[in-house]
Amino acid sequence: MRGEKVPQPLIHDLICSVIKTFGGSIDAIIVNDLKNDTFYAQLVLNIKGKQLLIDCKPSDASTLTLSGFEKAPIYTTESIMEKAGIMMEEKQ
Amino acid sequence: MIEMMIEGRGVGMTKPELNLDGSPSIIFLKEKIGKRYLPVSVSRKQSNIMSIKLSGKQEPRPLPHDIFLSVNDAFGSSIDSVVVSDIKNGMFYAKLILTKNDKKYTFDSQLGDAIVIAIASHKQVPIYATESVMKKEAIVLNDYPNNWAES
Repeated sequence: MRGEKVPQPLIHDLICSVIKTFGGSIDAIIVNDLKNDTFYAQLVLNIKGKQLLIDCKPSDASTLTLSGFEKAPIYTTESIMEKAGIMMEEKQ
Repeated sequence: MIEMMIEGRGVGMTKPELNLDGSPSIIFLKEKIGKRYLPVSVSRKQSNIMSIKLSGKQEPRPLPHDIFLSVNDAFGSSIDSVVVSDIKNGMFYAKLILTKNDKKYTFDSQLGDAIVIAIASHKQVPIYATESVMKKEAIVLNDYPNNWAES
């Protein structure tokens, strides 16, 4: 996120270079489930216009979008928002 | 290019901080034909994931290396091999080679990640090292004196 160069590619960089090399992209992240206080997510991979869902952790999904797919929107479901959504109080 | 196999894992004596949870932080790659070993250190996280993969346990949520394998499947590519290509300032450099439609694609990777991917794929992915890396870093275990740990 800070744009620092690390001497060796991280696993997330490796995954993103595979996606880019093969002409794919990340369309979106969906936080799709919440079980026992654990969030589950899916990566929406776009391969030649076809969308494929890949299970992952929300943290890995968001790290992946930081290596070149920053614009990918993040979605969640209404039921997760009802269970775990919070309201932030506005700062005075 | 020299074909290597994963011969064992050990605890790094020089970097015990990498080893707080007891996961071995050194991987011993041994050449398939010959006696030389290549000890390579991996990160704590990579080591933990390796332990999980070798035990056959299932984590409730996919690990980053599982995401790699899913992405690899999604594109219809397959993992060809891992190459330990260079060593600079004590750091190993590795390549992960994928094949897709009979074409080879080379990706820079941390050696630890490439080895975890090779293990997690359950596909007997070959691991190679260049002769120059072997010349610089390989050891023959028989040559170690008993007081190795003390020196």
